[in-house]
Amino acid sequence: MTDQAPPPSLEALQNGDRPFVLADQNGVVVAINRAFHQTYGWTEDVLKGQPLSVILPESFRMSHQLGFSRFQATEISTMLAHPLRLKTICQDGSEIVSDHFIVAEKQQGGWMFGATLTPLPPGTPADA
Amino acid sequence: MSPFAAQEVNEGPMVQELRRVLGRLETALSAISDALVITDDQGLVIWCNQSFDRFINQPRMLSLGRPILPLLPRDHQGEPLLAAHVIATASRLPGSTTVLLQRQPLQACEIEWRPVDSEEPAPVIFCIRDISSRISNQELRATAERIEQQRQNSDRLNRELQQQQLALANLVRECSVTGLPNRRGLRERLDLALEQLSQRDGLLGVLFCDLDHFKDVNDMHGHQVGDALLIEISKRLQESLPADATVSRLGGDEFVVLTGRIRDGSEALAIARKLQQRIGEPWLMHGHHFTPSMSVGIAVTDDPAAEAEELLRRADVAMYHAKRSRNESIALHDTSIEARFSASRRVHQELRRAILNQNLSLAYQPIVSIQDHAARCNSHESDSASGDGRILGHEALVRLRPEQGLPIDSEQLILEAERTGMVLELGSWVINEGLRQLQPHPQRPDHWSLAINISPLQLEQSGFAGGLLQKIEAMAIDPRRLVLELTETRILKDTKTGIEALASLRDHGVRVHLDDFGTGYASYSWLARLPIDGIKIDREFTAALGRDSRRERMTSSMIRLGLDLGLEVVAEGIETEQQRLALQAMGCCLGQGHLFGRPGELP
Repeated sequence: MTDQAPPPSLEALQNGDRPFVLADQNGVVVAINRAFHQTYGWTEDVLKGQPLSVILPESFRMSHQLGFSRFQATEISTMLAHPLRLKTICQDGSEIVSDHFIVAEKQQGGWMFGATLTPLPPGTPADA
Repeated sequence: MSPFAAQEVNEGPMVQELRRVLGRLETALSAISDALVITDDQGLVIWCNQSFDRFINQPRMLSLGRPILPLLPRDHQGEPLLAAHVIATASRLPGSTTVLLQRQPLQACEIEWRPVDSEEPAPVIFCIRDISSRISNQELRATAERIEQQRQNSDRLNRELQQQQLALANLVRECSVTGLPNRRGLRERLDLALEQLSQRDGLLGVLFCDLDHFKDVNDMHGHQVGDALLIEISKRLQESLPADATVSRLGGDEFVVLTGRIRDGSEALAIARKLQQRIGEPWLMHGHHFTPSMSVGIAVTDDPAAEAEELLRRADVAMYHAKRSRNESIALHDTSIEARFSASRRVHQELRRAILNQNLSLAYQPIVSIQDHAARCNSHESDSASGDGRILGHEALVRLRPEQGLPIDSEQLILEAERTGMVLELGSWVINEGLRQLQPHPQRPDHWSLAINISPLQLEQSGFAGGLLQKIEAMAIDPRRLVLELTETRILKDTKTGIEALASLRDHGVRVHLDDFGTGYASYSWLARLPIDGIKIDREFTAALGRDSRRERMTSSMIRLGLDLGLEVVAEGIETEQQRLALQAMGCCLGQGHLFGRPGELP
């Protein structure tokens, strides 16, 4: 028998020192932390209320939306709790390959989604 | 307000509903077998389903944002599955293509693409469908059609060939073995001979000659010797013919001689005898001596309007009469022969119909004790022999109820059954019916037995004895009450099998009598060879008692011999008290005949 640490809460992640973005059940950004702003240039004022897909490359957006919708319909996801190496779009339009680790948490008002991003050195190939 | 609290959603319930709908559709599209992939106008993958993942053997995350073309497998020749220009124009032009991925096993797919016209620039939806099985079916169908076409061509060629062969055969008038005219040649000659009858006096004789036992020559020495014999026969016939006569080979071992002009039937008979004499001379072939013989049937006519086929038929009927005759091997067709032939044919037809419809019956004639109490007898009833005419058993005699005409003579019935092989079916019916009567019955005394006639053909059948014994056991019959009568004159061909069957039956208690004793050529020889329990002296000897002293002495001798050998002796055909007394005086113990009762129902 192994002891497995429970996944960190969204609140803990929000307060952590790694870039973090929070979205609601419709995939709309509701908050980012300071590290996210410092890494990718986005301010919370600009990003808040935008679809989460704006930080994803164009080619990933449709799949993201459909995957998001499938989770809404089935509550089954293949993306959650798996590291994904994706390009992340910065506010200035540049791209940084980052590892995304997405978690979901069901709260009173519905599902909330948080993604912790780890920027990788330039030249690292992305999955998508 | 905490940033983690659920935000008020402005998009409202509609967005949530749309998300659920999209989610369902995405799930459904992932489940279908066709591979679906959507690219942007540049051919970069922006979505695909799980079937596409399987098709390219790569997870979706590695496909998104990549050009579709390098993701696709190569075709069976190693070429890209889609041409670069297809990708370049796909956002404007829909299209489809079929590609072969590999030949063995066959794997093919159909790729269809369609731009999403509502957007600018238009993404492209690609649908990739596995059509391997459809291609296989088409190929199979095409192959089947090709084979069917070949078969039809082959059939047509065969038909043409057969027609050509027929046409050629119609041109052939000679037998390829003997060089004599064949059936067609004969027919032409016969037509001509009939035509010439109107132009001159005299008769035309048709001699239908059939070699005896020719099949045995073929079977024992091979067809090469058989053919050589046919050639020799044809030479001998030609050498012995009158100048204006001709000979043809009808087929097999049948030759037909057309006599030319003759005065009467006796002249035809004389020709036949001369031919028979020449044919019967010894012939040496490959160190084997042969003495050929043939039966000849003759038909004569002075009628130019006679039908050739009818003339041949009459000669054939006469030939069969000659072949079946014990004394004559030449027969001239006349009304009596025709009548016998017709009768034989009627018996044949009636017998076949009777067997088919089970329109048969058994009549039972009593077998009685004719000896004084003190006399020495080998009767089965060892302790109760007496001359009181007590019935010791019956003989079952088969009767046929004809559907038309007069009753059929039993002797004729049996002869026809044996000649045609129908005796096997007939004999089987008789045995079953006879055994039924042998089943335990309160009115049958313990010593009562039933005699059933069997044919050598039955005895020589594989498993006859075993089958009969099984029936006897199954029907709880005492085997000692069954007597099988085997006719001496219908000699066993396969003696070993028959004797073994008889021995097996006797070992189990079944008794065997040799019927019609004294009428065959080798009566005493069979006495020594066959495992039997008794003899039945033929009626012709009984009839001769008091009238033919020589036969009377023979009868006495047969009875003594039978008794000395420990056999039961039954005299058949006793019709008078004088005959009974004479037989009694000779020591005969058992008798059968009208004096004691005609065939009828069992008591």
